[in-house]
Amino acid sequence: MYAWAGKILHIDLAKKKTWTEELRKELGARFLGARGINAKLLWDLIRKPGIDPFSPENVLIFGAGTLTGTVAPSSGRTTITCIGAATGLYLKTNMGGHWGAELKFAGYDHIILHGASKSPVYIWVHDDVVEIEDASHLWGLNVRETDETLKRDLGDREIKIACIGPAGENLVRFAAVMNSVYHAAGRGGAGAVMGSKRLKAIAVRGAGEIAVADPNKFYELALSARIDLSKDPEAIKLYNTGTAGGMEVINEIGALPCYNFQTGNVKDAYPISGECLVEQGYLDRRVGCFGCTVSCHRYCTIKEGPYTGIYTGGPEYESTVSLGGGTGVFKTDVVIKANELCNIMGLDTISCGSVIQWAMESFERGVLTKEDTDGIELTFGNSEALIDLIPVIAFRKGKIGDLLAEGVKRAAEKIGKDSWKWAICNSKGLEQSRVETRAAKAYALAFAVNPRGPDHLHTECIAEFGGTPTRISLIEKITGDKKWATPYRTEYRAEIVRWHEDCYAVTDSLGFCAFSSTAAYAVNPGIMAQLFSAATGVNITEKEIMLIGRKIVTLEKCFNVREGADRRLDDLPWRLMHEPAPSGPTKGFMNSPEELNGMLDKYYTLHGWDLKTSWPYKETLEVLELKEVADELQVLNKLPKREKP
Amino acid sequence: MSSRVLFLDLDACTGCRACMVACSLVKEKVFSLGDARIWIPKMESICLSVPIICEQCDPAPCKTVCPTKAIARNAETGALLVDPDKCIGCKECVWACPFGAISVRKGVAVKCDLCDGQPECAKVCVPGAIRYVDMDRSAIEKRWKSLERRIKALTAII
Repeated sequence: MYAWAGKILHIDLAKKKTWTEELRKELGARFLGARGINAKLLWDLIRKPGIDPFSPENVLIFGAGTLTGTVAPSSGRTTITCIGAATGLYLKTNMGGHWGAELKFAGYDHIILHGASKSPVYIWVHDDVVEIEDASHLWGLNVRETDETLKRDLGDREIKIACIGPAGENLVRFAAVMNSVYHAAGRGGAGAVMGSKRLKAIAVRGAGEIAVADPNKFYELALSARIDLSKDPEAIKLYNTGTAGGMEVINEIGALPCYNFQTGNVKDAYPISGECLVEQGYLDRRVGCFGCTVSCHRYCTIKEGPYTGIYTGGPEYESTVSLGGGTGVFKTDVVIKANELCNIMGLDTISCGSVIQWAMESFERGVLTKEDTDGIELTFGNSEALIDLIPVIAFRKGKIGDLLAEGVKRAAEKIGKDSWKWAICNSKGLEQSRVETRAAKAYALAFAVNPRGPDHLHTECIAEFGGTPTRISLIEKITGDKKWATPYRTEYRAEIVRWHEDCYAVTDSLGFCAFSSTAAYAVNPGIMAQLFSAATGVNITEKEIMLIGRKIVTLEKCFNVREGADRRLDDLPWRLMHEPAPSGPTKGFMNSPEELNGMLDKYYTLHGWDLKTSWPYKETLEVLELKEVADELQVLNKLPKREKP
Repeated sequence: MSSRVLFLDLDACTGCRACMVACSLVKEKVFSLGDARIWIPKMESICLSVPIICEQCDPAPCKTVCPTKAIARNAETGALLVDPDKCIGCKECVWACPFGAISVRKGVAVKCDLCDGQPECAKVCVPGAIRYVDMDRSAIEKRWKSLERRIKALTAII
């Protein structure tokens, strides 16, 4: 077997049994790896709709990329797939760090966790030996403590650990799975699903090797891709100032979502920017995931003031905007501290910040009172409240902790009084990432159709902003005209979204980082096809690999169709659909239902999906060689009645 | 003799370990952390990575202790090379190396050979933490400083 380790590890946590299954080359050729194969495995393993995310019948699947563990640039990522805790729908969530590569060296591409343990356990995978161990001494420990304790107990500092913190244990619906301490599979609550299985950690150590079909060719391609990526201006920016670099520009154009999306433009965004971390001496090191040439990850420490001695990975753009700008706390040290708390509690910073912002707005509008907040003065800009609330949420302490741990959709349903109007999630139930979609129309469409809910990690569409020759030429390649490289137009957004969907699915499946293919563009689909071919010996063209990307996206869509989802769930947060952007050059912009529906019609048509239900036509599924999926949907009466027009 | 050395920069290392798998591919035709001649131990909670590789010392403890004189210096590159025919796998060099830069695999000592003057680890290191540089007087001083700092960091994390 080339590139793939060749084995899927099954673990039944209820019966305490483990077994391996061969990863057949045909499966790899059909679904590539990581995200793609995970999607197929989840489709096959979940046989009936309506399973609760916390039921033992839910499965949790880890998958390392096809090229993870090799020298291909920025290819060390891992995808986790399950029924998500936030939405009860399809969830794929993805993490960097070093865990995936270690899994491959241990001899596995995927781990599938079945059932649930009665008492806390951890799993220790070292090459052929897989042990399910008691984790009662780890339960309750935070992520950093868990990592350090396990490495000490097992006597090896180089073990890589994926684990949950208290948030996952307490089934907080936006709990993350963390690995290499600070690298999160944050979105959608995979950490809570892991917690529901009472699985604290998966420790991995691998002494094995990964062979590739044509080592010389592969090395030559990888080396040239590394050099191209290292010269890419976007990649250089990410190295220098991280994902939070250039924030002042976003603020100037009025697209920095602050105060729970009530404004896109604030007086001073500098304290929460990547430039500030560098210039004010918070940044100690730039950190790379496995094999990465970009190294956008940060390591920051606080050297003075009340939080002296605090150290943590990050903060990244989404974290500083969600925990800082969104809550009105423009203080660098407070944001770093809040980010550290989320990291060690194992919380998704986007959702955690979002739910706190929702509570702050509710409090200021009198919808939540001090009685509801257990006495916390929950106003925007209140640093202390922000810092106090994070562990309260992670441990579901008191009335407010338990309420907010459910996420904004459920919290707003419980509180009522119009509070859903400022709950920044869509009908699927996931909190939106901090992107001002009112002023970025391809993003808006991509967010609405994302199977896991509105965020940028299914289909990143930075190219629509234009501004650089690479972005503009990509838009020209997709639409035929470079004039469509503007985020304010709705024309050709369906085409732009679909190209990025395909590309992103390939990126995730091979283990690449989106920053290498859809922010910087050095690792383009052509390069990915060549690297895949040289590594696996399965020869494939750019066109073919993009079509596999589409197959993966369509299969993910079908999972939600089987769960009962239809067009009504492909929407955006109420505020963004009904309240115009309030300030700056984007003032007046909105994702009105009419505008969104227009883009959705075009998108579904392009895909060969029914306009009324959004379900894929039988013919569409057959073209993508998803016949078994079509057959199953037919039985469930989930194929559109009408034939494809 | 070449005046070039591998200069390892603690501050620039991001801990990505691309150097390790590039090394194993070039030397063993597979990707593997265990087969690499370069080692990047890490303390993940403080995101600190310390690159460790043969410093091609002069005088070299490994060369001195080898009972079969299997380790000799290459005149062109200055690299200390193991002659697999002479090596008996006794691990004396492994114990003698102050940096943990030698290991024994399949009965033979393996270590960095500077890839005959084209070190692949330096080629794949985008942040420039591994640089193949001319060894003038200032570089020698910098190299000692880098070594001191790396040893200090290593003591803290292991």
